[in-house]
Amino acid sequence: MPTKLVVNCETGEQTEIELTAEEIAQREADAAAYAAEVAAREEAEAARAALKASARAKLVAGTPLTEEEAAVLVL
Amino acid sequence: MPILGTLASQFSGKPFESFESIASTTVGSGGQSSIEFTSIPQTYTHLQVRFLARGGRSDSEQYAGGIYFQFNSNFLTSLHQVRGLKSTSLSAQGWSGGLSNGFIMLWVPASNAQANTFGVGIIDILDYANTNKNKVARILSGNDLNTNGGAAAMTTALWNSTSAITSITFGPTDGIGSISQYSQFALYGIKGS
Repeated sequence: MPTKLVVNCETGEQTEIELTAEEIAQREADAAAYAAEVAAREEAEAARAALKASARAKLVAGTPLTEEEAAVLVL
Repeated sequence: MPILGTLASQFSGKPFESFESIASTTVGSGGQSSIEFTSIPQTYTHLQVRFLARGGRSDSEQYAGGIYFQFNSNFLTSLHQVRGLKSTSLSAQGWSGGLSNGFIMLWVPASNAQANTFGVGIIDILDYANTNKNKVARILSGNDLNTNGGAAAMTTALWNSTSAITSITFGPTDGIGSISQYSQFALYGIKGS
């Protein structure tokens, strides 16, 4: 059973407490939210990298860039 | 008794005696799902947390074994902004907005990083007991994993509440990991305006 460490600043007492079912459920919900966050971040980063690569290739080849490709190169 | 290492980085313009230790803890064998400082005295003007920590979750970016913190068990979600610098052998990045699930991340090594590596950081929590202000915090955190990259972040966070802060919780950003053994968290109070 996972535990949390509670430090009481008033008394200085430190106690290890087993998580309640509610806390465990919250952790599972947090884990799902985190996984979704990571997936979204990785997808966005991959899309941006692909756009930059495409823009760079077009610049080298001297072909027109799309609006999106131009935007990713200009801050 | 002065606390070593606190002089150079304490709030500027304050006498050394204005900086006091409130509580500190070191995580024991097996790690902890979370760490909570409770019953924080309301007698100081500001708080500071200093930590040395390692996350208990795995991450492809080994320097991102994130740990979050909460005030009074509330995520710091509202209107917060994050600015950071993440450096590896390839690039540096800045970003804003924070994670959508409300976790303000402290940058510490992940569980799959090299053994015995830890990240360090300082969190300043301003006017934590003032019930006329929303609560803000500024954070410096980072770690260096040599060939596996590293991260240094400057973060600002907002808790959109005027409630006094009476507890601070630290936990793993993935919700199911842990904070590793030997991680240390120390809470200090700062007197004066």
